Amino acid sequence: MRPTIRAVIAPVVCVGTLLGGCTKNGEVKITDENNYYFLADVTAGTQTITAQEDTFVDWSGLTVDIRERDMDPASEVSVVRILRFTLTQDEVIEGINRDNLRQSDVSGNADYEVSGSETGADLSTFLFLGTPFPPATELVDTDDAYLVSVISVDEESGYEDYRMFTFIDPVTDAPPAEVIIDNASASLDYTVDIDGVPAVETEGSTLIDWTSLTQTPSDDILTLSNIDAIMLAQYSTATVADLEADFLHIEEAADRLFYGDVSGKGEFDLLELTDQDGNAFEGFDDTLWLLALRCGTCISPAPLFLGVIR
Amino acid sequence: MTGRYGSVLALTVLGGCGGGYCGDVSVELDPDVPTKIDFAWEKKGEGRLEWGYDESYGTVVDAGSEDAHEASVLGAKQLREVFWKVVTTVGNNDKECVGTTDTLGAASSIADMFLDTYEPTEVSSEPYFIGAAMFDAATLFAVDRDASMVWFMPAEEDRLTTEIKFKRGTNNLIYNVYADRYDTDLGTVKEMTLGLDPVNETRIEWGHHFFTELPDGTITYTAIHAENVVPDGWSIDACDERFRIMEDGVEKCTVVGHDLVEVPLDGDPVILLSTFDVFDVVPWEDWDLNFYPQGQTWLHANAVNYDEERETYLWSFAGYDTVLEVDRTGSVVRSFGDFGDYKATLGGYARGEDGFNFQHDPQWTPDGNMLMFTYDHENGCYAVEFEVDDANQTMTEVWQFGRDEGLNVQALGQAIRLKNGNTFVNYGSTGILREVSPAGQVVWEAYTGSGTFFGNVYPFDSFYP
Repeated sequence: MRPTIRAVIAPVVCVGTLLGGCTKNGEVKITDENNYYFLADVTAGTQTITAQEDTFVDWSGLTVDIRERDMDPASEVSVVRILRFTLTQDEVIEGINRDNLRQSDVSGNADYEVSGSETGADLSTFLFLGTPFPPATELVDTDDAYLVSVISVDEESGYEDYRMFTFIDPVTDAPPAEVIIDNASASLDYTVDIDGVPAVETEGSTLIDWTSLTQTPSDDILTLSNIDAIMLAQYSTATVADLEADFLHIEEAADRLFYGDVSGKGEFDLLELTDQDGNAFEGFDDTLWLLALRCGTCISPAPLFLGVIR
Repeated sequence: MTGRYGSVLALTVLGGCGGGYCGDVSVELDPDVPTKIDFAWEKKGEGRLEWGYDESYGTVVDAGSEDAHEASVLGAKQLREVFWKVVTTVGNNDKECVGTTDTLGAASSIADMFLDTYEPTEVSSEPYFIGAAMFDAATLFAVDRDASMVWFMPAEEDRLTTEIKFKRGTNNLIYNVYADRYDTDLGTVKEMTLGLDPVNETRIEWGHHFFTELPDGTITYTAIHAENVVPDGWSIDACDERFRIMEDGVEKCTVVGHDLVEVPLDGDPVILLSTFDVFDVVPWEDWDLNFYPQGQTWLHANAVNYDEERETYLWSFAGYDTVLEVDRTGSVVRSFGDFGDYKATLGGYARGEDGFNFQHDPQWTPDGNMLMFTYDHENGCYAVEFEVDDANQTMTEVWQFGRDEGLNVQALGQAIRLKNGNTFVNYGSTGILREVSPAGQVVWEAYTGSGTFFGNVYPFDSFYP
């Protein structure tokens, strides 16, 4: 029998006292006003290949990903994906920066599922729902953008992590060339503002409610159910300015980190957070604390919410 | 007449508050379906549940007239406060218990949808759509007109589900499951409750794409059927070397055709018709599509729809640009398209005068016309409606939407006539759903983010039968 959450309403006895209170008093409502600003500035190179010809994709030289994380190209790549867009390269970059590409922007796609320690594959072996991706008809000379991405997939969650990508440009009569995906194929810069938004005032409460959030850090529509993880970071010496200056490494810079799974939830008691050793979060002190709400399924690694907790 | 018993209490029950005459009312949030709230109570009288997003409620659910009552909030939005009222009518008195409960949300792995256009006064009355989302975030879902996911579950991993709909006369769901590479026979139609409890399974051997349910519960589907054929009028060179086979001293080509199969509720499957008994095998447009690993792709059967009034099926073959009308004895009543008797023409359309191409989901409209989704990779894929002339064996275009818009669909697609005469258009792999007026105005549009697109999607009226 599957588990159920069950309670019985009694007409006289306030069972709410047993369940943590009759009202939602004490909740800390996070709002868009508290959310940081983040806008990615991705740059990706373009490699010219022969239109309508098969081409080998080589990712053996990819040892540092776009987020500056070390990686092993022979063991950490799960899928290599080609996407053909109805957009220009500039439009695709804008969509990646804002994490708001639509499926209708994609006119074709195919995946190569990496097996063993492979570090390369022919585009003709890529598949779309079992159907091959024939270069003769799919790799055509056009203004539309083609993007080839190297992706890690978390075996447990299934989440995809875009490690690196490059544009390819099929040109009729261009000389044959392999597609090389390496550390320099694309780069990520960003604009971030944490300091310029009001801190979350907890007034001693640890119960956080984020159901009022409506916008992503780049001011696009936020889907609440995309929030699946919460992170609380404590910094003894680093300032907000330090973290803004090295935003890609705010986890590494933390003195203490606490995590929690909030998939499907709209509120969470921070006292349920634990660090990597299983130690529970016990409350705030006077140092700098950052709260992040993250999305494991989004292309962008930037948290959907990030703010200073006061 | 409304009577309230006891004081109005502020009771936190699963994140909400209840008050009034509550007796033994139990409230359960279903952990498998975060937008479902189950109520049960014991009180002699007529029971009902009312719920909505404020104190005007709006949705009324019958909970029966026995001593014990059960009812559920179904199809609520995620992470929303639901106002509910449990009512038991005893004589002329209503005994009420009121409260609120917050629904939970979907896992982030569930597909997202976004609203683009919504003209509330222009759309048809169907408030929901149910369907399958595929690829990155494979999900079985129902959305409301705000494009909010109001019911959902993850699709089975490493399988394809392209169709889910309500089982006739119930609020159980039936959906298909088959191998995502078509290489293994996993074909099954599964029945479950909205609470995801399994009810029944029907094997559909080598079933793929879509299925149709008849009024008597029979499931009819299209199955993969490979045969080794001797080239007739074409060279064996047209056959991929992987699919050539020597048999009885003759070089043959393994070709993938299809069977139309009925599976009665209580009985053995019946093959109504095989494509090898209808068509000559001819290498055609999708011959080299490599869709099926068993052999050369030939007809690419991609839809079967049953029409209750005609008591016939429309069986679609995208690879031949052809549709067969087949009765329940397996006889071909009429044939339409490139390899059929009835030829289609596109009214006033300068290009593509060969009629429909790589069509999806042909079906009859209430007016007796044939509506379908057709492909045109140069100018855009679109919905098209044909008037059928039996005397002259012609199909003449009488309405279309989306031609020349340039939406290039890679897979799937649908067109369904709605109650008010509007047409629901599913643009398959582009992840766009639309409702379009007869005049061609888009009155509702929802879309997915990159990585997710649609199998079949159906409008429906209510979560309550």
